[in-house]
Amino acid sequence: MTLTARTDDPPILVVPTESTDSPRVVRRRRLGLWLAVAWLGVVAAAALLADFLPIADPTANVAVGHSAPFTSWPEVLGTDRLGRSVTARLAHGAQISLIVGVLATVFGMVVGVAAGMFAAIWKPVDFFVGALLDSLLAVPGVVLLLALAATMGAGVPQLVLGLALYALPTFARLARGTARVVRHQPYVDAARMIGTRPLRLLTRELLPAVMRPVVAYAVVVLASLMVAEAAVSYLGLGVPPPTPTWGGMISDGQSSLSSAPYLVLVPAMVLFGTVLSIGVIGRWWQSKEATA
Amino acid sequence: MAGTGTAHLRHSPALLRTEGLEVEFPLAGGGKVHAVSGVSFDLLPGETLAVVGESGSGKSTVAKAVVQLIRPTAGVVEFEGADLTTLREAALRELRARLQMVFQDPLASLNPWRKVIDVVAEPLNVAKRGERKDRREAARSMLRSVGLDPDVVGHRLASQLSGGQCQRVSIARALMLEPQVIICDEPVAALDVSVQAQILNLLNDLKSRLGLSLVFISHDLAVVRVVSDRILVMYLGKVCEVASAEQLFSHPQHPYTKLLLDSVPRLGDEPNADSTNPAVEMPSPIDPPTGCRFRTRCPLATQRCADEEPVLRQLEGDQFVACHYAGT
Amino acid sequence: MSNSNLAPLLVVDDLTTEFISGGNALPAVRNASFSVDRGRTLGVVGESGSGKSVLIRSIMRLLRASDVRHRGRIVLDGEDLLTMSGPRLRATWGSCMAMVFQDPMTTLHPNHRIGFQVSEALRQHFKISRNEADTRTLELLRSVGIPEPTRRMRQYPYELSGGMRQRVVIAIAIACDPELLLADEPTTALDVTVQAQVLGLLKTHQSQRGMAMILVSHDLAVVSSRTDDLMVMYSGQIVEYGKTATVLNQPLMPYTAALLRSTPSIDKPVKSDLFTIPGEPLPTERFQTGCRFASRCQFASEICISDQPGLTERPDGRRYRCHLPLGSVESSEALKVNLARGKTAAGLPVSEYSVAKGA
Repeated sequence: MTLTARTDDPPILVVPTESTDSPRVVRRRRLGLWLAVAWLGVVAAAALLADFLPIADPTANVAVGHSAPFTSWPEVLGTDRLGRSVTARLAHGAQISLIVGVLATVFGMVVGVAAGMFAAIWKPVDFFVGALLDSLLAVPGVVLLLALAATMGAGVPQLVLGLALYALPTFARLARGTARVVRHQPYVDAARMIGTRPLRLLTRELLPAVMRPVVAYAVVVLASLMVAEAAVSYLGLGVPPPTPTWGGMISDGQSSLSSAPYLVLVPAMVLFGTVLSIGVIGRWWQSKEATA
Repeated sequence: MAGTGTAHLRHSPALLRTEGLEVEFPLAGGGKVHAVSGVSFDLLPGETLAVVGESGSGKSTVAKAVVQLIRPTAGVVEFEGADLTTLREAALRELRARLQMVFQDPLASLNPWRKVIDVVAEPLNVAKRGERKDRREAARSMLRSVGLDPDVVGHRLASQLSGGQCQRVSIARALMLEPQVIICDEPVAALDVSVQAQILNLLNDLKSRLGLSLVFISHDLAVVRVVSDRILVMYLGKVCEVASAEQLFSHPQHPYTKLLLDSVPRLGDEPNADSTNPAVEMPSPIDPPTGCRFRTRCPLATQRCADEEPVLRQLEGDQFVACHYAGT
Repeated sequence: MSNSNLAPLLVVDDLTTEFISGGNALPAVRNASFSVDRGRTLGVVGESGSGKSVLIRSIMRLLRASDVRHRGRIVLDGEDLLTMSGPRLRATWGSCMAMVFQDPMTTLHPNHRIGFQVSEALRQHFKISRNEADTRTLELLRSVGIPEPTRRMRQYPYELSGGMRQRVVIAIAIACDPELLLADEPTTALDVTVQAQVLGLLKTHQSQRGMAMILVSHDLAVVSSRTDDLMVMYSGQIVEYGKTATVLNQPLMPYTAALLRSTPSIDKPVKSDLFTIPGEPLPTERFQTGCRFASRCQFASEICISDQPGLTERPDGRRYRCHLPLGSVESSEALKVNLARGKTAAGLPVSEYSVAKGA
């Protein structure tokens, strides 16, 4: 608590900085960020290049029965119950996981933000959108997906649509709430004063302000939708076999959890690492936003 | 009508004229806020009209109601032969080009994601005037005329400017469409003293150079004194007194005007205001006093002030006061 | 304590306050030295970023120890506040010094009744019963001019107007009869009629109780109307100090003079152009070899660029930080030279017009 008066301090070099955290904390945080970026890079590369990498066909049986990781070559990560390459299934599964996650997030974000912003500006739209969102929120996500799978069958487009619908109401609410606050800012009034038309007002003046919290939130949604996709595939409502997905792999491995726990552990850890990395990057983005 | 009336409106053709302007905000639990009740004023070419009042007087609401950023509940706003209150948004967009506004918060008045040069060029973009290159050139020369170097600040964002610089950019933007009237809502309230002086001088200078007319909304009488020709004093949504600047400062007549002037701190002097106990403050605009709205704080108040609302009446020359007893 | 009635109540000696940020020390107050006698009022004026608020918070020891570094001494009643322990400091707050902030809404606890907040302050310092504290609270609220104090005691801060809240804050501040009252922009958030009431109230209690008071404001008029002494701050430094009337009538530092001329006043002629100071204030953390005001000063000559002026004290107690104080031969010589070459040593254009009207 006590501070002693010191008058013999050396002259101080002043360099303004942004952060008030100690250098050690900053260094540790930066390391975490780079690890997250590296991991996502590996996953994204695996997903993009899955068809060109020298790995096995994910649906072909390369061995008889399952084998543990690090026991055979070239199947470093082992094989599953049907003797299929785990490496190959993870790489191809990344494709599905990322495509479904990213597409559903973007789709939910674009439609949600548009609906929310129009609702914030026009009363009649507000009433209509509000009613729609409330009814969407009233239906549990799993029931929604079940209904979609029942009526349209299981598959990637249905999954994207279902997950997007699941994420959409929150995006719309966030966008509507932010837009309603921002539209009373003097700079929006100033834009109206110079004769800006409603559409330009929405895109030029309101959208940038709305997108700041929305983008930060989208990262969280992406992570949660990837988990949701795995959960849905686990329930058998997702992409039908033999197409590999991470959730499907966890679901598959569950039957031999006691004899071969690695069949669940390996895809689960890949999913965990990916979701965690997205979370780390999301937090970094948010803190950057906060200081900007 | 109380603390209202139109006796002070002049016969010469006015640029901007409001009559019986009224703004009410409904409350969620019933009842309403009487923000502005029957305010009339006129603005002649080349004139600066100051609207003075404390917070809750409704002066900023008047500014927004005049330009229709808030639609008034009742009353008329005449500008260029049209009644703005009856116009639809599309027709308003045309007229607003010549009726501009400068806001109080310098930083929040500028879109934080756009460069200064784009902010200033935006009015021309919206109006689709000229080529893209010409618009930029026009914005650059406008920046120069408000005392900013376009090469230095043009590519910055609002957050990289000081408060005074932001306010200069706001003024530049307001001038781009060659307005006749600019409504300044507390334009210097958020600025430091030395910067305040720069902006006030800039406004005075632009006014005489471009032949502008100004409506200057402020709580600060010392600032108002520097810029205005005519002053309108508001209290709790109503007009108390209208007079030329000289007359109002030298011979204030309304008891509220006197209280305001006596409260202003003076350099090196004890203020005249009686600062003894107890505290008396502005009543709520949700349930304003009957009769004269100032009577709860007024030393002259009688039963008549509760029963009968005073209407603006002419005293001497160009001085009008809404009080039963002022000047007697 | 025996001879303390002769010694100044507060002595600030070569105080430097730096904010620690990312391993750097950013000065906000630079080498401030001044003192306040018992029962006197000192006004501190400066623009935003001049360091006046940091100075007050340094004296009050309100800045988080992990964020700042203080150097120098702040001696209140013979004790150095900077070396004081936490418990001792808490005992000092309230009974020896108290503070009134700009925003009364954030000073008061939003979820406690007014009466509780005032009586709590009393019970912290005096060993008195709840009933006795309530009685004294009632007296205090009445003495700060709050109408119907019995009813107000049961109200929450949000139910009161800004002026009324500031009166409650003042009641809490004077509850324990402090010897020094620090008021940081106490009326900036208030309307002008309420401002007059609150300033009057502060002054009344200050003289009745014989408190010393430091009144901080960006508004020269607010500060000068209620104080004995006046201190002007610029860019983290004290640049001028003296009796309020003398400083206002005969400023020695060009910055003070310019500030006075640029302040709008209802005593100036109607529709007069204001004097303006060119440029913007130098941020406190920025390093500068010469005078910190030199780049905006029309008198600046070579020495102002090369040497930092110290705070010079005249025999009459006036202090100023300037190589070429106004009214001196050097000062008018420097202006002549600058007019002849059309610019100052710092490159600021100077003309007859700019001398009369500013930038």
